[in-house]
Amino acid sequence: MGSRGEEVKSIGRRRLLDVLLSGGVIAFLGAVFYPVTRYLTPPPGREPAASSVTAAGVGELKPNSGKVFRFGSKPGILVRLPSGEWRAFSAVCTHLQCTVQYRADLERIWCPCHNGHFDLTGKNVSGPPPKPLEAFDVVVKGDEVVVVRRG
Amino acid sequence: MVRQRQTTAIAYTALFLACAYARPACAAAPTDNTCVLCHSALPEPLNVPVEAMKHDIHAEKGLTCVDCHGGDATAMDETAMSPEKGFRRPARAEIPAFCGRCHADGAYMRHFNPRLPTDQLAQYWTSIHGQRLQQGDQKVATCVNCHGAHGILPPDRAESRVFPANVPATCGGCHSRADYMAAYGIPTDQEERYKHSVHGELLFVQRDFSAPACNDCHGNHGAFPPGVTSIAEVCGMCHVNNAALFVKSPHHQAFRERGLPECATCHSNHDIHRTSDEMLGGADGTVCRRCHESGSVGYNAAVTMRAAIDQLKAGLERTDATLARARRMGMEVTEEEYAVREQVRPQLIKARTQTHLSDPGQVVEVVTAGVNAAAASEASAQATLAEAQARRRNLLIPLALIALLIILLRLKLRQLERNG
Amino acid sequence: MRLSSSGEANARTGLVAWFDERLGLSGAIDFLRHKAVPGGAHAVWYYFGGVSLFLFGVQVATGLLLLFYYKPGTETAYKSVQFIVTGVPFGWLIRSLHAWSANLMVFAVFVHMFSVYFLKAYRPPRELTWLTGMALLALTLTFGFSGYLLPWNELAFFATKVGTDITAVVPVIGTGVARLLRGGDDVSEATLTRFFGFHVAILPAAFTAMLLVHLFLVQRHGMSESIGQKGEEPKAMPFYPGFIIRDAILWLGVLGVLLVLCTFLPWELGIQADPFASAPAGIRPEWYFAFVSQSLKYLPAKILGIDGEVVGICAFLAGAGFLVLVPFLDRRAARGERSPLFTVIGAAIVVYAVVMVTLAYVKPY
Repeated sequence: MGSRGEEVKSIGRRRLLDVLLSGGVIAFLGAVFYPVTRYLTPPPGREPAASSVTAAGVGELKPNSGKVFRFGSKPGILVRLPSGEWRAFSAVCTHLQCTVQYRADLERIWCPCHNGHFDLTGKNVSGPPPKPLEAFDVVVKGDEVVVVRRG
Repeated sequence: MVRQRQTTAIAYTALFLACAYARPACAAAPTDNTCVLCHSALPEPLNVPVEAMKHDIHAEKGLTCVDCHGGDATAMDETAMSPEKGFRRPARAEIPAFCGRCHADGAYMRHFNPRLPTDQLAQYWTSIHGQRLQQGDQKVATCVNCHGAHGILPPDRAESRVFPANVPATCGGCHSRADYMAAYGIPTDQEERYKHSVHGELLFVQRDFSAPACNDCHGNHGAFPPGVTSIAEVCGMCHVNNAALFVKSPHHQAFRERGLPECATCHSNHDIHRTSDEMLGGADGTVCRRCHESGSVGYNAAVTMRAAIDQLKAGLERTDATLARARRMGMEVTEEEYAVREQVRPQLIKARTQTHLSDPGQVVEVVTAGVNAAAASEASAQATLAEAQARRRNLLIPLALIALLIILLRLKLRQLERNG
Repeated sequence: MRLSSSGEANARTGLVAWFDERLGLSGAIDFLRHKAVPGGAHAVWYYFGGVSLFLFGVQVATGLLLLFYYKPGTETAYKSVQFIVTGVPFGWLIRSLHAWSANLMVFAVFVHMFSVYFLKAYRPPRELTWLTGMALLALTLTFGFSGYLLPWNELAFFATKVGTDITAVVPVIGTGVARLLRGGDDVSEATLTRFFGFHVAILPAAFTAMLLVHLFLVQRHGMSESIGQKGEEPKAMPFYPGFIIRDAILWLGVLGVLLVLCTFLPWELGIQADPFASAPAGIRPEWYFAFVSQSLKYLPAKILGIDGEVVGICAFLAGAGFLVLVPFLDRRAARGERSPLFTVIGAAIVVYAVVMVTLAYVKPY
């Protein structure tokens, strides 16, 4: 009779299906765990410290010089006063949002678009800008100059 | 003039009658300001000063009619306005000195506002208005034409005639009237042109009061059109880099020799529009072609500069388009957009400024820096696009696995259900 | 799980037997074998409870993963989500999965609720199942509302503002509840902290507890048969293996749909919220609240001297109350009779909600 042979074949098919299914499930689990593992591994980029950023190294700026750095999605300006003190402000001009720069010859923060002048406390002292620059706090940590948003 | 005399005659008659018949009422308040008492009862235009003085900086400071006009504010009859009592109503040519009695006196003004300048009178005599007034021209502006006589407000008040947004209309009160200005042979379309200029739009629409109005370029009290050689200085008060470069360029000397008005030659004076790159280059319609013939040195320089700027613009547009595509595909590209905004766009602005030196080499240098930055951003943007496309391709793997598992499960199900 | 019915003694069976001795799994499996799911035309609706459960599982898993990197706080929240999406490998996938699965889960829960409603499966003895289910629906919507704010973007900030303002309209308790939700009188950092606490701790605990009761009750009472199938032998499907494997197939399909959505329509980050900026045009809450907000737009300012909004909110609360209490209101279904009135009311509610949501997106003003 062929029923015995058929039974053997069907057992074989069953086992094949079970093997395939187990294999499929394992592959599926692998496809789930691979991204999860990669996700959990600490990523190379630094996590954002939203309200503070290292703007420069301690020796990077000489007195009476400035540097535009990135703060979040806007530019900021770090100024080292002639006295050696550090100040930091938003570099977005309050007139028409150009990026300001430091003028060592004037000892002022200056906007090249329409000749706006800000003094070293950020106050608008000449030209079109209607408001002072937003001021940030500066903290020297070791050999890093860190700029921190206020409030 | 005649109308004025008629009005005065009627006024005096009315005044006499009013006081004669209203004497009991007037006598009821003998110590009050009789100027105000009588003038408020008179017909127009004699009652106008009373209403106007209610909103007046001099009145706010405690000054009254007699402080300017003299006379006697306690008298109920014509002696209130008698020259013996010191009354004076200045003739047109006397007005500057009349106001200057106080406003040019530093010691006196210190009492009210130590910060207020006291050189207006001196400035006025240097102005075109002051000079012509001294020559006998009665049509020119005096203090009261711009500031008013009664109801004078300081320039920081929005209702003041010399508030920045109101200045063009105040100057235009004479300068826009063709009939009034006919004898002078100067245009009368400045106010209209200014309204459509970029400065006018900033002042009237954006309410940016740092935008220049008439007085910022022409002067307040020393108003005089900037001479041909000083236009760059005036524009350069705000547009520092453009002016500094222009002065170093060959155009500076060339324009001076030809009596051309520096910045205004290319940009116009009153209807200054937002600049566009269409102004630059060798095509017809550019400002360069107005003077430079095809094939000349200037022409070639213009063509080179325009080509460089176009190249940078094209690079920028390419990067913007790639970033937009990446964003539409759902990628987060804020970093790349920041780099474009802070590193590439400023180069384009710098290049356009640099054209004022008319040195193609300098423009090309600036453009090259921008093009390199744009290329870096473009590469970054392309990487993001590639990542987006990779995600879509890689999706096939889990989908295939899911499909496989579904098939296998269905087979298993059929098998189990067949076996009961 | 005894995949092999051949009775061969192999290592796997030995392992299974070891666990079975200690956990008593075979008893559970036997029960599942005997449990039956009715067949027939309405069979397809029986799957939505499982789909909801699957999606909840996805939410828990992706939510736990997101917790590794998310930082609550007005300065840090948005940037941490931005970091997840741009800086963490597969972070984009986890985040989009969480957002899409949330929306699909709300949809599935609604379909599940309405299919139970129309099949009158709430009738005795399943009233408690219905009540726990309604509680789960409310918790799901609260999950959605609280989670939406967490990225602290512009749309979410203003949607929360509008949402809590509507809550304040409820008479008597409204202002108090709104203040409790917001942590104050405005949407602020305090709101964010509270919503975070709700979303990752309080709501999961409450949901899990309610879910366990709900599932226990479902198992205890078995699957409800639809009214009107008396006299015919309903073609039933055994829960194991038929229904479970079909569940698994469906869940895999749903997962596939989720993956496609996340790849082709990733969830947007938006712009960081600025409480001092004015609201952008077209602010509206998420679609599952849109039928409420859209309805309120059509109400006049005053109805019979009462604020239009108050009347609207009370009407919605009454509607919700009706739905919650329907097992006790529908006497005909309780007797096992057809109950067309309640079917019509349910249909009207569904049609109304669908129309309102469509209007909110097509013609909001």
